[in-house]
Amino acid sequence: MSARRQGWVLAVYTAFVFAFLFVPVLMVVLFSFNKTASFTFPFHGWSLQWYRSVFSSPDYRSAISASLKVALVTVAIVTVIGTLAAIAVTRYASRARETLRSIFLVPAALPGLFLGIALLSLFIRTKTDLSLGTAAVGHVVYTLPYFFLVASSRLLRFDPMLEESARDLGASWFTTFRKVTLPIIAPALIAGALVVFSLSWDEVLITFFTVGSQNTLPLLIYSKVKQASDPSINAISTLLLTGSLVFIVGVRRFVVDLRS
Amino acid sequence: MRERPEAPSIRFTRRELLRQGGIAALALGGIPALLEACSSSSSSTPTGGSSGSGTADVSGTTLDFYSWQGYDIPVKPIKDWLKSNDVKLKASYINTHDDITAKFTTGGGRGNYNLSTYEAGWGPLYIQLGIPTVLDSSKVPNFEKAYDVFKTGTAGKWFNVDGNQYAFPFTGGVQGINHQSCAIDAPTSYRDLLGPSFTNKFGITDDPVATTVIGAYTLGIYRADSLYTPDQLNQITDFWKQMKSNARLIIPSYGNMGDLLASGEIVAGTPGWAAVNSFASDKGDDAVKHTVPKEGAATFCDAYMIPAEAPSPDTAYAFINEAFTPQAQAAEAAYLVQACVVPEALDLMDPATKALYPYDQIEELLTTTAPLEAIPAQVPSGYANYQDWVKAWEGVKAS
Amino acid sequence: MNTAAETTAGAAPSASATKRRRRSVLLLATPALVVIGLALLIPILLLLLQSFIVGLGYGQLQYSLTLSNYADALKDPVNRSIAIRTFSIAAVTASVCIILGYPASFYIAFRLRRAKNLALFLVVVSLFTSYLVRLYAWYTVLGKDGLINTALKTLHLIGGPISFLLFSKWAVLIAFVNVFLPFTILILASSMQGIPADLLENSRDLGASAVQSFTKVVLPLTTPGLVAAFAYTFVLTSGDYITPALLGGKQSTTLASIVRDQFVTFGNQPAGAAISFLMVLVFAAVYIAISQARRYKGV
Repeated sequence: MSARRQGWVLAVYTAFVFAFLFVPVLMVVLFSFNKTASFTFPFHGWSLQWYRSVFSSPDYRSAISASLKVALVTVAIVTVIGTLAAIAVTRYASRARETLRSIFLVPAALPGLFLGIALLSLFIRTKTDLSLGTAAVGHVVYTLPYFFLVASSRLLRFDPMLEESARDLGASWFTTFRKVTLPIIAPALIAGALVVFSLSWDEVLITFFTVGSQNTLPLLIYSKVKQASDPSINAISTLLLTGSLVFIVGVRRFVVDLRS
Repeated sequence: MRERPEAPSIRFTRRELLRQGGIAALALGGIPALLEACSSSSSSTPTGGSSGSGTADVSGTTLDFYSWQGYDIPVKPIKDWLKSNDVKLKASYINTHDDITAKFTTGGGRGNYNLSTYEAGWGPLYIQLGIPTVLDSSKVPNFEKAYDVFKTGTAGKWFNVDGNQYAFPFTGGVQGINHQSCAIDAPTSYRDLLGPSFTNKFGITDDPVATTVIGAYTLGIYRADSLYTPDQLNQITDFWKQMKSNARLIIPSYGNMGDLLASGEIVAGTPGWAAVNSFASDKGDDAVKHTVPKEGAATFCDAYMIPAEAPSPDTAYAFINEAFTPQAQAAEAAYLVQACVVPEALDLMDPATKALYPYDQIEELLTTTAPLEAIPAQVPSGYANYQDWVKAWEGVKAS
Repeated sequence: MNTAAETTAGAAPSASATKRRRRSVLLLATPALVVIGLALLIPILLLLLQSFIVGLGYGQLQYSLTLSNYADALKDPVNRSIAIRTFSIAAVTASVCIILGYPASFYIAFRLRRAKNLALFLVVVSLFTSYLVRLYAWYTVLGKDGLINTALKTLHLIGGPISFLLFSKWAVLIAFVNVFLPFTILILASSMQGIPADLLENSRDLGASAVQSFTKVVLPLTTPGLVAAFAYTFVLTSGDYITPALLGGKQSTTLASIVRDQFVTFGNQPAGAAISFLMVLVFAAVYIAISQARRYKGV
């Protein structure tokens, strides 16, 4: 098979893969406009009623604000400690480096169920009240590896000569970091923060075990999916999807490099 | 050997309704006034309810609710009450009754919620685990309006133990078979579902309690004290394994069943629940019906409890008291498609809702023919306990 | 792995200054270590300890050491059949993801230039819809009146609807693959990006056929990515009880739901903890096994 034909076959194949990836997303968006409460064809016509019900429902509003609080706190904490950890691992040359790296990546290797029940056991033993805060703890542990991967891979490709030059010119370590390193790796950190945000926003398994009486959005959707649901869950998902896209496209001017 | 109970009759005549004391007077002239009062936004109960006495001022407080979706009864009388008393309702919904057990034992729920429920059969275990607090009946005077069987009768004993009131029963129902009446006639027996016309066309709800009880009814070994030997439990398990091999799926929840019936993926589901009819009609399908087969149906009765370490219990008391007003009870019965416990509410219901349950025989039913089932949390040796039921059910699901 | 940072850090003027810098850099990792230590390692240790005491149900514990939780978990035939079911679905999902994802990752990493970032971005975007809502969307696609059946009926390819698409192992597989294929593609593409683009050309110049270039050059260099993608998908699929419950039909129970039942329904944390750690052992075993594959496939 000629290289050209091979490339053409691969291209078509990849297109099909993408189509498969997006089929459920398209269905979600389509049925968010359904005139009836059904999820199956035939599609009964266009209506904005589900969007209206999302905005008018106090359940959704409090769940969205809860999810937002948890996600923002998680992003704030993970961005700071994750960046520091990534710097430590990529700049600290020794055998301990691999051990540290493994430790920071471990939470990604455990199912959410396991993390959730482990944390719940801890909270019960220490008699900690469950709340959005305890849920945030779970989110921090869960998302740290992902941020760490993004940040550390960016730092590895960062030319250390730049830092060396700055230090040779007399800058302190901290000034070097602030004026040289940080501006350059900032896009990757933002990408990492976005990953953390969307992971926290969508997290349901750990949250189920660690949250107090306040529902987050995924928990609310989960309870609706288990009770009797209607396409308002499609509407809220479409809104979030659109919001994320708008936000990212706006940030893309910072040349977000997603190679990890 | 206990007689096999009859399936609850749904025949109901106006004459029998009038036998209930006090209703006659209301029926003659009071209805327009009552309807007027129902739709007013004042929170006082027009039938002379004494909710004004002894209730603390709860404005500005929050009701943290943890139970089935719907048991926070989002109907007009309650919504109006919440608004006029400035009480905020925050609800978290459960998927199974075990969620309540878990939440208030190991799940960190104590101190986080002030209103929850439990089903009658769970009473003894919950009381032993210290989950419900002892309630002050003077703060819920409207409970006096309930049928005697729920206060001092056989149903009441699940909630009032040794003179302590642990919960106030506010609703109940039966669990049989839901079916798509456009597609099939109502099944008359659970064993109908084993036939070829139902192959790959029905669903079994993931409910270890209801399935065990229904299995016992079908095999003719039902007992209200829920004491079954391991051998009998095996028979029940074998029955459900047979059913499962002919079924299309294990339905994760009752809400899901409504979706599946409305979308035509299944034509029947058991254990059923009358509320599934409403779930389906929300999806545009008004033809889903609930039926009680000849072998019988599992019965349940849920009660409001205030969990241990509840924050602002007075808010919960005020809500519970409001829930027993006839307007709230009538609206709740229509919304949940379940029975209510206050006779005065019957006259405020539309005929269709009233006809769902045999209110005229309710005392007799709950006392002799179809008493509420126990949950075998602690059983004498030689019998299967609740954990055995769940394990057996898991065996069915794994088969 | 980039070793420039390593040599730079070691190129400091004096040994003690190097040591000082090393130590202060290490301090940067402390906050993250503290978080992981308190919120992950300690809870896991606690859970491990709990798995060796007796659980009486409903949250009550009896503090006497026992191996019964593990013994009972291993002896129970229900656990065994469900474990087989769970891990086989996980293994099949992971394999399908790799097989389907590899060509796409290859195309993105080696054949796209300006469109590469856009393609990877699209892969990430497919994850931006809530996992639960995407699950429900499979009813819309696979159901009796769903997308596939409606399309096939309109094209007169079938008479009645295909019912095994939904509420079956197929539905679970399709849904899982849909969730984990993006992660697989990202991991594989990232491992491929480490390979210099002219490596392939060089091997062709040296006379190797396309197939040989692939199996002897690209494939071995991407085995770390393959191992990571397989392990990640396998572990997370095994721990997911929501997808099988909603789409699995009669096969809706998995090991994860049994663990959840132990914690929620029975209130027996020791038993749930024991099953969880047995699962972790299986994960470790699988990871070690597939890491060995790296050695034999390598150049």
